Amino acid sequence: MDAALERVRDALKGVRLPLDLPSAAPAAEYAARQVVQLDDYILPRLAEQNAPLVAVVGGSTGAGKSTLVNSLIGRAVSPSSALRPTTRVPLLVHNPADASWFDSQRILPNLARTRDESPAPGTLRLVAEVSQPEGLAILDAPDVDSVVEENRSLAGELLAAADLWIFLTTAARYADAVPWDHLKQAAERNVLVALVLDRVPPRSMDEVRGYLTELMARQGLGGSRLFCIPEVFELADGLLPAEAIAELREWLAGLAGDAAERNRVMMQTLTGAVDSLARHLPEVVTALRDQHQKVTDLRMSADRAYREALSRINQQTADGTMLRGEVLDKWQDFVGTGEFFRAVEQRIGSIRDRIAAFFRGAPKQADEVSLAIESGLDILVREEAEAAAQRVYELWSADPAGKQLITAAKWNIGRGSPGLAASATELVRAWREDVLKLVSEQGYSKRSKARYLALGVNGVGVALMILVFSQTGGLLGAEVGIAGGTAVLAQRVLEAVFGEDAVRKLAKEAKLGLDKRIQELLAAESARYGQLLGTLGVTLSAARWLETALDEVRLARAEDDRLGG
Amino acid sequence: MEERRANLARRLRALGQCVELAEGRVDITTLEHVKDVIRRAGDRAAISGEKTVVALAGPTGVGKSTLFNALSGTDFAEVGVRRPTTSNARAVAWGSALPAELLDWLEISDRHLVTEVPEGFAELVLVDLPDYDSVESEHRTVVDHLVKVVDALIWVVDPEKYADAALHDGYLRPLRDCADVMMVAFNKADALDAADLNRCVRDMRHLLDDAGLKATRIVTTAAEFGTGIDPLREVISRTVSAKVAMATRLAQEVSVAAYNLEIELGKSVPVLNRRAVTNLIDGLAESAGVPELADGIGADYLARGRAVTGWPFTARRYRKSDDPLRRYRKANAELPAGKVSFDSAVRGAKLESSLREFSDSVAGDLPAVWKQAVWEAAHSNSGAVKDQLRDIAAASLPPEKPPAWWQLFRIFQWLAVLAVIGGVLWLVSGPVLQWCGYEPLPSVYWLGIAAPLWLLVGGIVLGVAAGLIGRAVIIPAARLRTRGARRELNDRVEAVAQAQVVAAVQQELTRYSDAVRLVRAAIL
Repeated sequence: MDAALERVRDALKGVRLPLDLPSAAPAAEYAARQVVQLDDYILPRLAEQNAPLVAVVGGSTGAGKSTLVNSLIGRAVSPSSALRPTTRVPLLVHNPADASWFDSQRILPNLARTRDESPAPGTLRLVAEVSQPEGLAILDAPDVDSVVEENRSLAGELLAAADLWIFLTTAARYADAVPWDHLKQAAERNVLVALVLDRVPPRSMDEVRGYLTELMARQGLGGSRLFCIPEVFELADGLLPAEAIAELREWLAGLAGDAAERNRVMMQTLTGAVDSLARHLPEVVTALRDQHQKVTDLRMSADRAYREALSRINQQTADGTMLRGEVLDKWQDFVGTGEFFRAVEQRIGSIRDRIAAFFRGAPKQADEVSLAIESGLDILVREEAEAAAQRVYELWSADPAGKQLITAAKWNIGRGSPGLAASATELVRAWREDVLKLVSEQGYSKRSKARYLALGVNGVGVALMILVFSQTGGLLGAEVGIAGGTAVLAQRVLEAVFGEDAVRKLAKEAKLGLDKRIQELLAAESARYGQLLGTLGVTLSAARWLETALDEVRLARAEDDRLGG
Repeated sequence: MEERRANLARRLRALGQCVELAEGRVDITTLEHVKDVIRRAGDRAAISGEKTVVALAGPTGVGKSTLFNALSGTDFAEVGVRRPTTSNARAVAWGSALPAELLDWLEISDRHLVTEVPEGFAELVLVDLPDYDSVESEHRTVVDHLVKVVDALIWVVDPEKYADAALHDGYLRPLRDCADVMMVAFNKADALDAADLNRCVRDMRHLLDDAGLKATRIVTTAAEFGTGIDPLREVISRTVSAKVAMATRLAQEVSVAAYNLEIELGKSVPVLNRRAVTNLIDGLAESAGVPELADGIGADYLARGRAVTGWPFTARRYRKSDDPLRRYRKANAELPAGKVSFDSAVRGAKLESSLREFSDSVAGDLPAVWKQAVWEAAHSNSGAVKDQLRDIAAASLPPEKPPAWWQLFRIFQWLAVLAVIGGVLWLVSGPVLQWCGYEPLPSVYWLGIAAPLWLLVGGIVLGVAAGLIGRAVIIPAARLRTRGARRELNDRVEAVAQAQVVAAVQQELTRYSDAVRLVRAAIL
């Protein structure tokens, strides 16, 4: 049991709900509260059932908590004043014999102990009093509805760490919403509550008492004790008259004196706390799963945008549309020069041509075609990558969580990475090298060597690129006349050099190389979104871990005979 | 007073216009809140500008109802020990008739009329609100609605409840902009001795000051004993007779709403700079193939010019060479319309990227949603942009008449040809005539050299020289022609860019600047 709860605690401590989903805020708050409750109360109580009971005195501002605590002890230990909020440092009153239980950090480990009369904030003031019965300590908590935020949260923390509640309200306050929120929680957790109604005008005692009993029954606190204290205008030394609190004091003394009853109270509250935890943890699990689901959705929509960009580029680099405009223009210039056709013709191969090619280098026009292809490919890839980023922005901004990420991100979600232009240029350059390498490594017969040389490696490379861009062959109407015709020419010259099969293989390899490079570039672009989502630290294992720990708790709960059925 | 109202009306108008412009481009919650304020302020001013609605608000059990009865001099509010007590809002008005329209608007059905009018209460509507901190959550709903619509608020607290988070965090702090139409009545003052009361009031003062409510006054009362009631009535009647509470309250609401909207809008000053437009035009021109087309036109000019002005014996080949312009047009214009997006993948990409760069550089540091709107505006007519750019690429420039100087060259060239032919004929004529038995033409010598030789050699030399000169002139002229064509085509692209892209973007930017200007007008 203890080990299982430890694991629940660790799992809760690690709960991260960074996306602003409807389930996130309540679950995060609950998880944080439960970590504190496990540390403050559940784990120490499971470990040590012989420790004295802790009764927390909680309630609204100005309900007179300090006065009540002082009166129960019989001397003014806790400062009370007309100013609200007064109690800031919680005060724990115990019998001197129980001192060792409270001096250690066993319970409430986050509060430093002090026995100083004017304690520093953030500490727990301990007071040993002989009048306090052994086996029961009283803890005076701050106001549950204080205007000071720290007081409120500390009050909540202390109430969660109590074996029983002495909850104080007044005739003017008993219908306030905030205290009742706490009382409903107590009912849900099955904590033993003693409700103390303070400052009741004697003439309306019966009416108020009846009405409040009814209210308690309605809110599921029917089994709790109700003590009424009549309004007292003159306090003696700041203490209530003994007879006003006699009933409460007697009940507490009885509880302290009866070991069996004490154990029953302790077990009731502990079991209630564990059961409540087991009931509510699935909400945290759901919240964790919601986060993971949302992250997955966002990642998928980013991936989809880039996948679409990839398939568009793949299509456009294969259907001949790349060849229009400038590329075509330069290609025709190239084809229009004698070198090309001489290479196509079967007859050539003279020494003169070789020498000419040697001195001239590669035909200049081939370079121009190559340049046109490269700049076209460059801009095509870049623009599709930009459009994909824009698409991700549109998809994400349609979702509140996505919007949150867009706002929080340090970079512009809707644009390509700053290095996009450079990597597109690099892609094109690298692919051109690939192509040139392909054609220069491809073997050719002696007879075709002259043709090869006449065109130069660049010319052959350009012809291969042209062929790659019109590979699908699904051209229509006039397009066949232009792009198709262009490609046929390229194909013929390549076939004349390498032979038919080799050309098919070369074109395929070149296209595959291009696709691979484009895919890599887009993958790098879309990885930015994956990284952004990754920094959220949302994993499915967090939910699984918590679920496993919860199952263990349920199992141990059924088997643990310390806890009541 | 009148001036205040006119001012408020003007600001409401500005805010309303701003909301229209900001619709869909600003966080929906902010916008809804602003609309709510506008609606409320408009309604309130329209219904009754004379009446002042003062409401008593406070938690359960502080004696709110008792105070209400004491202030109004009535016993309409029931007082009890059962908590929570008051469950709906209750209103009292003085005079001969209830301000029914106003009360309907406030959604208060529990209304009472007192005919006897105390000093200064004639235009007062006093409202008792339910508590806001009890287990009955409907009470809270009523309070939340009414605190927004009443003109002035008196928060009733007591020594026990004055520091509740429900009051300070739930109401006072959020309402801090209305601090000067709010007041705190510290009730049950009799429960404390003078020193404690003093300390509590000082503590409350601190809490108010910290929350930004320095203008909110605190008065101490003990309603059960009638203590402090008269001073409070005095304050109320002064508020009513000044008739400014409503305008003040509304003005503050408008300010806050406008201020929140301004935060959403940001403070960018987008400018449609010339440079961005130039880049756009260049990009669009490139995507339409203008540089290639202009090159083609220049090349065509060069070819034709050389054919005309060149030495006729050699220039014919220029005429035969492939016409670059026709080739260009063939490559671009014969495409089946609409078959492919724009004419080539590359051109489509160039078009998209110039639109994107344009919207990015113009939108600058606008809020993200407005940036997106600018981008959408730049794209709004992209279909028309594509069509019109395609037309520019396909349409020819008006056919150019050969320049006059070409004709001079042509005449000169033909004269040179004639001279050569004449020279040859003359040279040949001697032997031929002799062979036929005729007398040969008389020999003419110029500068000691035979005239036919002059004609032959001179014709060749002059023709070749003229061809060279013509070529030297035509090459730069063709370059000029290319440049001219590019300019002319760019002008057409610019017309498309201005009409289909820049105008739409300008409209969006104006919309933004107007929204910013209007929201500022609404704040002041």
